[in-house]
Amino acid sequence: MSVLCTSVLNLLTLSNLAAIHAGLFAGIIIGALPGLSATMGVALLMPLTFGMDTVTAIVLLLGVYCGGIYGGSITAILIKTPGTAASAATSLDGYPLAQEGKAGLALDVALKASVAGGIVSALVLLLVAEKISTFALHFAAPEYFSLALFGLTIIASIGGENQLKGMIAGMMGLLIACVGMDPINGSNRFIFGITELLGGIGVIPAMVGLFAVTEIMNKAKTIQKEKDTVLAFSNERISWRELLKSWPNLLRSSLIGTFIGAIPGTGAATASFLAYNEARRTSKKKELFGKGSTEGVAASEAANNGVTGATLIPLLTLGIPGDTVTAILLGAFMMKGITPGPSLIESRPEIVYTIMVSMILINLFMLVQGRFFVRVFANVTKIPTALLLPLLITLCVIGSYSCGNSVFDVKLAILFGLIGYVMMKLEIPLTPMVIAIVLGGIAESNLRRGVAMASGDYTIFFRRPISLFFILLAVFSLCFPTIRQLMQHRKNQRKTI
Amino acid sequence: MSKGRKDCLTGIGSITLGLLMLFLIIPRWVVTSDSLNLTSPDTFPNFAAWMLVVLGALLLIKTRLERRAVGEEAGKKEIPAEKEKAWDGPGFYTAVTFLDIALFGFLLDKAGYWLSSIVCGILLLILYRSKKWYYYAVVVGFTFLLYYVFGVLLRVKMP
Repeated sequence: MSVLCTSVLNLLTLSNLAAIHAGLFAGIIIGALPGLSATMGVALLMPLTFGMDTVTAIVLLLGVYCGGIYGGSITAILIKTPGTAASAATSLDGYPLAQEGKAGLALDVALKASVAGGIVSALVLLLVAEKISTFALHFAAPEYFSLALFGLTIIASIGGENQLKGMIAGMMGLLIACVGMDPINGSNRFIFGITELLGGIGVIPAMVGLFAVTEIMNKAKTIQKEKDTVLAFSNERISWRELLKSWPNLLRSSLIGTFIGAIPGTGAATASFLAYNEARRTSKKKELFGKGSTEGVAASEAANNGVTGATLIPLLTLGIPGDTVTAILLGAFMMKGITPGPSLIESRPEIVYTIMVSMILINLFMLVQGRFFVRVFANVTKIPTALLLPLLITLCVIGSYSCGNSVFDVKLAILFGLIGYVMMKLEIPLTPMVIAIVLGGIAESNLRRGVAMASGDYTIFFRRPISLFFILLAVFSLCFPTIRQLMQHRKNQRKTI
Repeated sequence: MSKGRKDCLTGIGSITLGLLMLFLIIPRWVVTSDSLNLTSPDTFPNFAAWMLVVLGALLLIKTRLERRAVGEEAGKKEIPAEKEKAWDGPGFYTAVTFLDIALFGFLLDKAGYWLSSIVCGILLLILYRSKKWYYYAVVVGFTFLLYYVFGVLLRVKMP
């Protein structure tokens, strides 16, 4: 309790509160702009945190994360162009509401549902995270390897319909993770005579390239269509009392987002569609879904913001990123000399609790900022693509450069942009590659350490119960998408008969 | 381009990349040693490369089976619900955008931050045929803003 109180006092400094506001502001704008995402926002703004205090840096990035996830709903509602993938489900009912002149209502529902989802997720983080961390102290190299393996096998489900393609992207990511010095021997791998590659391929240039540059090239196709339609919106609002009348939907969607977020490799987009489907399935007004249902908007937004706090559970307690944003946050932690993992809550409890409490504060501040800036965001989205793209390019280049003060990182980002564009054209999902780049090194080094621990006996991974548990989970997650498809196929066949 | 063709290309690309890695790149560019370590530096890369070959082959088989399932003769008949489209290529604007980004990366260490960012930003607006003068002003102004944030506030040594 004293640590909690200390953490709250640590958080309530002028610089931290300013960082939360700044992060939220930047995140909401970035999330609202089509073509940008919370992931890109965190990747691009991370260089800004280099000179900051640890807590200030982390709350800034968390503000960008939460704001970015929420911000995607604004353009999803106003112009049916989700700012982030996580808000794709929001546009299904948000845009029809806007068409009816109820854009203000839809935006208000999205904001309040996002706040509710984020707070539920933050409370779960605060209450459950320590219990997970006590369990995590039993982890050694074999457990870390099998956990990383589990995270990697989630790639199979992230691919969606393109399961095999997702796994191909994952294997490419593993190869990219092998570039540089071998973690055990120190010998060179895939440096091709380029000394800059000795340190491996930076996660930030890879992500800027794969996400930002790819999207810039994709958006360039729409240059001619500079006049984006923006609908006028009314000042209609929804009261908390009115919104809480559908509290089962709100709570269920928040918990779905929290549960999904705690599983590495799933992400906010998966959570929002799952919650949307559940809301539609259990709603008494099913016919409104797809035509302007506030329940649909609330479900999607509560779930996608419910992910934000929960993704920090595996990151803080186990050192495994829950999604691509937390993969970047992992890099940010390490740059500040903090190694997330099972022992973090024992060695640096004040940091952990400060982050947890900050999630609650971030969501409360988001309520204030969202209401104030919603009209401004509507004008920002009118920036024509022809002006937006040159600005983004400059930001991407300088962001990539500033990571290591190296132009080589810029060239890497450009190369990854080209790779990402080709992958996008071939409908190969990009997220599995990013997850593999982040987790591949962890998996390999712990595999080899585990084997060394057991003097060459690979059964160590099956003899230790926690390791065996995660390996079984990995097998299940690898097979589950296929099993689910087969079951769905049989169900459809029975229906047609 | 149809989904089937994209899947085929992906499968062939995956197999090709896997084989290149296994027989050309890994043997040449992964330094192994005769030390007493139980696992070798090329273990993981070999695993990933073999998986690329296997997954690529599975993707090709799956694509073939899907085509047969909808009654299409392999590679000849069009699927009624999914017509073969012309290659949805990059297009002029995508190509010039990428070339502009590449030029930016090339000029950055040769000409420095100011020249490369202003030249590439304005060049892109010209290629986009933007006639509004304030676009150019915003791009130049943004260059100053970024320099202030990164170069002055964060003390990043700009090129």
